[in-house]
Amino acid sequence: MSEETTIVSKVLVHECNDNALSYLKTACTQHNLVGLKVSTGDNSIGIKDASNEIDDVLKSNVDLGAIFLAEAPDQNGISGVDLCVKIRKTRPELPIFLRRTNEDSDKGLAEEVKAAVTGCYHTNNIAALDELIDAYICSMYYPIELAHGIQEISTDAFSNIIHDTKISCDLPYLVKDQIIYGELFSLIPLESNWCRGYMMLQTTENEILELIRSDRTGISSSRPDSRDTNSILNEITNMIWGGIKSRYFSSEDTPSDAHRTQVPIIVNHSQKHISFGSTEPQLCFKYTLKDPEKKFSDITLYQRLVFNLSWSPEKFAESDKAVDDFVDGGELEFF
Amino acid sequence: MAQILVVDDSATVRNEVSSFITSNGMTCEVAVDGKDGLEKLKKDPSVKLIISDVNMPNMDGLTMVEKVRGELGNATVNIIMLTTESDPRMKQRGKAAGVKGWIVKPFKGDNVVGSIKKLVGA
Repeated sequence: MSEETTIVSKVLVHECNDNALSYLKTACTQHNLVGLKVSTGDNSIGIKDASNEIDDVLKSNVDLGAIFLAEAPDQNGISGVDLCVKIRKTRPELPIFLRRTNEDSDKGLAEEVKAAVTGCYHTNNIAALDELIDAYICSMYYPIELAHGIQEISTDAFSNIIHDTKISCDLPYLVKDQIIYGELFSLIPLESNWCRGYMMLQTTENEILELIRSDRTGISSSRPDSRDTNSILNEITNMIWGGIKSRYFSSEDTPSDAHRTQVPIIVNHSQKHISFGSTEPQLCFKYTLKDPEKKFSDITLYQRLVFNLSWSPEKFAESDKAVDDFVDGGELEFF
Repeated sequence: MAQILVVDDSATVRNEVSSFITSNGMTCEVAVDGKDGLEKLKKDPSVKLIISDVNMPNMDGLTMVEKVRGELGNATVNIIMLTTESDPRMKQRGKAAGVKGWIVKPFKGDNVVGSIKKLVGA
């Protein structure tokens, strides 16, 4: 990852007004948002309309930070007013921003629409849009050095456990949604005096089984099963956790007992959804592992960091400086 | 009669380390956690070297080391920790308990094979 790398967030946009689109583009650039525009055109020739398209995106594994809708209907008569109520039912964690046609507040909207939208704005007062983005998408500051380091530690861990693969990583990004990807999922606490939360790794089982069968891991088995896939994810998680702990958590900065609060973590299997109680954006990475010899299918791994219990990024730099002796992996240190 | 006991909750690491050991002409037994490690050592006290993880379910590696030296009274078996942990306090606890050396994962057998052979007298 280069020094110029930024942390981005993907947002879904349903907007047919050129002027408003221009404002949104500017806002996206300023706030490092990647806009995914859904169709607003005439669907009389059979192209999917916005409602179907949004459904498709929400059902896919696109991690989102927010959704931008417009009150005015598109060419198919589909309005953000209708869409927001529908979206709120399926993905209640996602902030929805509605561009009003004649107002800059939720005045005059039906109660269920008011409940569904997170905030309203008007193109006459674009500062309100900035405020909404700052408050709901960019509300957590994640140091870029931390994102760099986590990506580096994780890539090393993948290459140590999975041999001879090409590993790539998308730009780190922020998400508000809480969807679970794939069937395999690990969760490990991250605890220091500047952060308390969890790291999650999510992937699909079949691809890991293929990987084991193609003899790219420490497990030799022609008929691997879920114990083997669990073991792979377990060790990758363990190595990343150890790397983060060594690099960023100094030995003195364990949180005191007085601050050891906990909140329940809720998993909803029917919705493939996990909640940590916090609605703050999570720091995410998407890795793709490719086999140059094509013996196994590409593997996608999602890594999410959720600092739901405590987050003091201003102390991160101090802690980073405090860790002055990096340890070389694999070397035997005699006592 | 194994020369080396590998204790790790990760099958991936157990396989990798034990394969490396046997391919270098040494004998090896494996255990899945500290508790299992203690049991295996009780059954085969002739083990010359234990290579153990620290963070494991049921019984962690450092507690196992303390029990090996204390409860089992085995002061001779060499013990190396192979772990993602590099916390100086952990290392200090290991040293005090009688750990001989510390390897931060990943396991790179070629870097340590000479030392392992010396410790088992191979």
